Amino acid sequence: MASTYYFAIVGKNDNPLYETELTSSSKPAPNFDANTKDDHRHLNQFIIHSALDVVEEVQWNNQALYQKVIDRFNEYYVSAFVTSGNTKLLLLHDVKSEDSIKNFFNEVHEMYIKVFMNPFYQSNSPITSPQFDSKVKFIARRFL
Amino acid sequence: MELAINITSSCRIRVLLVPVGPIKKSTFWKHVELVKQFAVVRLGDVTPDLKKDSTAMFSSQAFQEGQLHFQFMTSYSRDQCHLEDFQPHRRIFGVIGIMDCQEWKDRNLSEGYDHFVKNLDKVDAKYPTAVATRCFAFDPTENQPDDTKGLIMIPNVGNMSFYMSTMMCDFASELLNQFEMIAQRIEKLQTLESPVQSSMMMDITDNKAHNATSMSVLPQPSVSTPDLNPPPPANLSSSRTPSPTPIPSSSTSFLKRSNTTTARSSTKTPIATEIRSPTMNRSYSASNMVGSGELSKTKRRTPGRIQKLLADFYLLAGRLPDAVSHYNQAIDMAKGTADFLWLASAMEGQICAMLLLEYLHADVGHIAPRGQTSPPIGSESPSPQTPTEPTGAISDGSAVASSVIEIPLKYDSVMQKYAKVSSTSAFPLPTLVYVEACLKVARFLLTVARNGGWNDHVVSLLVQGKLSDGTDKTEKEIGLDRQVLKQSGVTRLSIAEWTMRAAGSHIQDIPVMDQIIATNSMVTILSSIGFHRKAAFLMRASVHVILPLLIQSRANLSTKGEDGRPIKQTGRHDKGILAVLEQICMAHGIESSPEDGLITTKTLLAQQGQYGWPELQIEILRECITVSEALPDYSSMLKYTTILLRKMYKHISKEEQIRLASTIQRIVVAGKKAGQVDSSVNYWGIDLVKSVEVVKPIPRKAVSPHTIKTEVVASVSDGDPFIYNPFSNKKVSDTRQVVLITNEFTEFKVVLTNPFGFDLELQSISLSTSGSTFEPTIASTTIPANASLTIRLTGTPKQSGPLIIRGCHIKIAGFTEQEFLIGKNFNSLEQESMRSGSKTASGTKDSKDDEQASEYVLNVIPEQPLLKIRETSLLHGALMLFEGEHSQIDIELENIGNTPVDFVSLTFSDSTTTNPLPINPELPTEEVYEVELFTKGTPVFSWEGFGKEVAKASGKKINLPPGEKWNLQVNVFGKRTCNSGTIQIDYGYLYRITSSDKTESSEQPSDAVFYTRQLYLPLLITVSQHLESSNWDILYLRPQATVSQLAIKPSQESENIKASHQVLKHATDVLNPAEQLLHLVHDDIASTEANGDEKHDYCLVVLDVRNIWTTPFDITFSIDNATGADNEIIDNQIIYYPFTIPPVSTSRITLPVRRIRLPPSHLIQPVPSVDPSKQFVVSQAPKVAPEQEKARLKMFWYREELLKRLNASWKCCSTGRDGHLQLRSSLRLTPLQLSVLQKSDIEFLVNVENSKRVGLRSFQVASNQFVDMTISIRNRRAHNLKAILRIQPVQDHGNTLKENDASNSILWQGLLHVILPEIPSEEESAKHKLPLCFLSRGRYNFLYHVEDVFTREIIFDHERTVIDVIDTV
Repeated sequence: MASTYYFAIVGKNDNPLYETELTSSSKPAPNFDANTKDDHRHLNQFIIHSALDVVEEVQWNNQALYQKVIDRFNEYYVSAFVTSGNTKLLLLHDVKSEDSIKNFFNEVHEMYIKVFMNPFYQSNSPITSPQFDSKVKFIARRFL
Repeated sequence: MELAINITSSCRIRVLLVPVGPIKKSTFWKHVELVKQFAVVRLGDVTPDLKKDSTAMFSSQAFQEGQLHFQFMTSYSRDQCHLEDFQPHRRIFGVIGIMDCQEWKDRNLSEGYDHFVKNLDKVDAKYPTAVATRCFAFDPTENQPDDTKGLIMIPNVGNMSFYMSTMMCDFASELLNQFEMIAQRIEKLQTLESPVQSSMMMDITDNKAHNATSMSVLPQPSVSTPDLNPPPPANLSSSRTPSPTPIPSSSTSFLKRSNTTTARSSTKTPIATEIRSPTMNRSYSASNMVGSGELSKTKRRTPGRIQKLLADFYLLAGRLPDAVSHYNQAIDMAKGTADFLWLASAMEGQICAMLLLEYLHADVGHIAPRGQTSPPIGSESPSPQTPTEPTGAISDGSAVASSVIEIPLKYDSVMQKYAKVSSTSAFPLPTLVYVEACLKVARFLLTVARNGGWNDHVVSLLVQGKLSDGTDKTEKEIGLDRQVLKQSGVTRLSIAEWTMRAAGSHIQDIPVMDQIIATNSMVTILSSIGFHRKAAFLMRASVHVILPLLIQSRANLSTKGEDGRPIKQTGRHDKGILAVLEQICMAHGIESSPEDGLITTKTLLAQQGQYGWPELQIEILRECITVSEALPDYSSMLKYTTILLRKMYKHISKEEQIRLASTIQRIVVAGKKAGQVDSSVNYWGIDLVKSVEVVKPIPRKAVSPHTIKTEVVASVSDGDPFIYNPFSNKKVSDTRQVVLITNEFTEFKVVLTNPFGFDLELQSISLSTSGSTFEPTIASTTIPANASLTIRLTGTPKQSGPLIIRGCHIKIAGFTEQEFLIGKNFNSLEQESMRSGSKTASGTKDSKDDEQASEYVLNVIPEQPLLKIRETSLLHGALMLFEGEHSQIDIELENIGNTPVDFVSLTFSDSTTTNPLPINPELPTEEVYEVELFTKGTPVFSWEGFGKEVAKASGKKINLPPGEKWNLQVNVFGKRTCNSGTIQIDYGYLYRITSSDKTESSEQPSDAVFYTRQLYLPLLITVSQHLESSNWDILYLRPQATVSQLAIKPSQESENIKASHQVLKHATDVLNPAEQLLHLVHDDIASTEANGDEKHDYCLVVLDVRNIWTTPFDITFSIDNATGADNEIIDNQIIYYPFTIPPVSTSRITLPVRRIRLPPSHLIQPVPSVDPSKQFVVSQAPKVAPEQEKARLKMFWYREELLKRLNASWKCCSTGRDGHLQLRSSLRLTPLQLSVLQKSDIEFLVNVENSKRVGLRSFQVASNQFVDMTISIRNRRAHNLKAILRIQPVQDHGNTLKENDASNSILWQGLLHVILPEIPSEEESAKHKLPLCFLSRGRYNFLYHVEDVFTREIIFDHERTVIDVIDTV
């Protein structure tokens, strides 16, 4: 079963800075058919959003930025990565692979920092750079 | 139907309380509460069954400390009936009817009881598992006989609680008896099946076609098969109704209500006694499913299962030691047969039993357990030991606290067992059991966490199944104290983890009502540990489940029609679900209740639309709308729709916006009809009005404020040496504050924005103001979609004073009028919040901005007069002037206002001053002076009101009542390169006479600030050059020359200057004016011959005047030849020289001008500046030598002096124009010319005694006679002069033949070279006398000069002395 990933960067006010759906392999792997997709349109987002509670709890117990799998819902896992600026990188995935996710987070975090250093980027605002988007997708292809 | 979500749920005996009608609802609930007080019955109080005391399994007194826990319920559904065989605590063991005797006053109570019993019997299937029944009749009256058998009257007098408890004990006793019978049956069982979910069963029965597939797929918890289709109606109705009809389940149970005729039960009527043998004759389909292998497996497992069930019953009966021992056996046996479901369940029961033991131990203080029945269950658990040790009461804290860790650990293993179920059994794990187990742990942990660690109090709470001491109501609201949490050693994370284990799509496998209950209890747990987002997530899930039910019930309602009661009931439930929606919204950062005063940062952010996840917010708002539609609750529907529209319009499509907007209207209409919505709802939270700004009035109507102080003073008092300082604070109001005038129409520029995707039609829009009265005019407009619109709104202020512009009253088509305030930008809001939080954050500048942003205050001043220029003397506002012409403009003003004008001031500007040529700072100061004099020093306009003086700032008091006219004249001067100009008339009504203090107002202007209005008269000016002067030259006017001319001169008659002057004036055309003038001058010279004065010291100024125009011009030069000393005869000294220049011709003008001498102090003055407010700039030019500088200054001042003395005016006879001829521009003095013009510092005066003086320096002497020639040298310098005088006589033979050595013909005494004594400064002179004797006739020239001893400067007299020697006759 091809794994599906949903990646989101969530800002300080629970607002999404960036979100994307990632599929790992070349196989088209939509795990929802058209009918269920409608109902589950925002399920991923909802899961991520509800996981924020846990992130905020966990981040105080863990020194590292990478928080590993912090939540699960049905067969989905939520991995988190909290930046020093309290921006949360959250990945919803259905396959457990800690190392690759860790690498993924580290790379994306680096990308995020680059975006952050842009003087024209306002902190805590959505990231609209298409370059960032393509980079993230590239990183996802590499590690996930 | 309650779920077993408490860890001690499995020890509770469920008893159903049913009303035996007729009974009032409130009465029923009152009695229910009463009965609930007796939920705990001690085993020791229960009457033992005396008949078979020794053999009784449950009712013996063996374990007196044990307790029976009743769980009284008022509703019941058979959703879980399939689990009743598996977990007996789910089953309803008893039914207690509650009657109200007050309702039966006139009837026999027995009727009611019969009805109750009949009811029980008739629908036997209703409570098939109830083994004991009672019927309590409350509040009996005196006359009601207590004769009905089986009906228990509860008197409301006396020791009611004692009576009640006795009744309960009796009831318990019967129950225990029944337990025994059941247990006996169980022991006899051959096979015991695992429970199969009823939903599955239903599926099977409903459509057999999908039998196999659904069996294999459905039980698997998976997201891929979310079952969101609304459940079948039958199911729904059954689960909703308070007294449900049981689902026609095919499962039969050993737990059927048994025939209880034998015991003390007072049931008179024999109940249908068909006790079906409790073999598990499951439905055919299920048994089909179960293969023969499965059957044998089941048989093998049955003994263990029986043990487990027995243990369950022991637990229910409160015989904890027996329960524990049976559980242990069951666990052992289940392990052996890999019967994980039963194993796990047994473990759960065991945990419960252990907890209860601990509770009792705390309660009783000592236990007399049956030592052998409580062996340690797990080697790792210390708590089972506690009951075995009698002294365990004071067990150490570590052991006690460990049960907090231990119970979740045990449950972990329970979970593992549950997980294995599906692998080892054909029947999958009942989801409900799994969910309940998770919730049990979560609630257990939460209870521990909430109460600060493991202690007896917690245990008792656990047994009671409560989270905290408070009532159930507070459960939702409480937060979690962090301190307590820390003490308890339970992390919120673990609680959340256990809770979330219960959540998931598998929860959809359990019945709908149970789903809702389970989800809600999860929500309770999560929200009480502060995981609001998770709670909201689950709440949303639960709303999803509830929604179809709501819709269903509405549908039923509408078909049912006029039934009043259900509506009322649903109304009560609506509030609950709406509150849930609100909470979901809050958790997702949607502003839900802006009206409450409490503003947190989160709500603040939410108001700004910065908080939260827009997509989710939209989704949730849509769901909220759907739910409120389903209710239907119009006000909340309206609320969520408006929130969605105004907060999320950025994220939703245009079509939806339009739809929403139309929905709002629809909702309002519907809501008004239903009476739920009042019309004054603020639908449009968006700030449509972005800004309101006063349109600056047309210049004619604009008023400008003036302070009483003059502005010059203000600028000087600044203390800033710079006129323009880029670093000084900018003037705050660069854009002048506009003031409004009472009773005058004012326009406002209003910027409206429409952020929506559809056009907004504003039926009416008008300004909303506060402060002084204002009469707005109403307009209407349409704002296009996604655009902003600037419109002009008008109004008239009616009263003076501050006027605050608040915003606009707007009526959008289809909606009520609403006030939109001027949009506050988020920044200011944020700053405000920041400031409230920390004062240091924002500076003063920001605050000023804030204030400006927040309030738009305008000042309304009293009525002002209004003037109009009625007519001017100009044609088309244009004016043609010759250069230097003086002209006059007449302006007629009319007061067209209602207020008199009492002050007028004129200011002028023209093209040369408004945009003057930039002055090159490198230019020498003289030239700068020239340029400045041109731009600033020669005004084009001047006001006659003040005569020659140029009136600039100050005004004039006049009195011009309304309707009157007033004339004024303005002088215009033809200035070269001027092409346009403006006359600005400031006027106002300053001296307002107020009735109250007449004296003061007449003295002083009424305000510190007064206002004037301006009137502008633009002029188009053409200045043509008609005359030009050029070719200046200054020549010596030598007396010698005049001598010869004098000889030619025909008219000698005019000796008197005055007379000649008169003559000349009258006979200009007779003589050449120049000649006349020369004669005049000569006369002057001649007349002063004797004085030896400087009067005859003239030079000749020559210049060309060219007429380049087409008409002749009369030009009059006036020469002021007054000497500086005698000012009194100044008039006499002015020489007028008129002449006419024909068109296109040049005249050479020769003007005799007395040579000028300026005192040295005058010459060292710096070049003045015309512009008083000129910035001093350090000269960038290279430094010039002091001598050069001096020479330049000298040049400057002499030129000025010359220009002062020479004046020329012209007149055009044909047009009558006259003016001033500009000489200045063409005059450039050369050093040579200067030396001619300037009188020398050192003056020579020559006199020859005994001679006839024929000229200034010409004498006639006789030959061979001694004469004394006296040369006196006058020193006008500032310092003393020590000089050498040299005299050289030269004999002039004529024809330029000269003989330098005149020693042959002249005898002289002394030296020709003498050192003069030092001549002191200031007009002192030294005389040198040279005795001479001419030996021969002829003409002799004496040349002489002095040489300064120190500076070696040689000073000549510019004329030589000529002595004609004639023969003495």
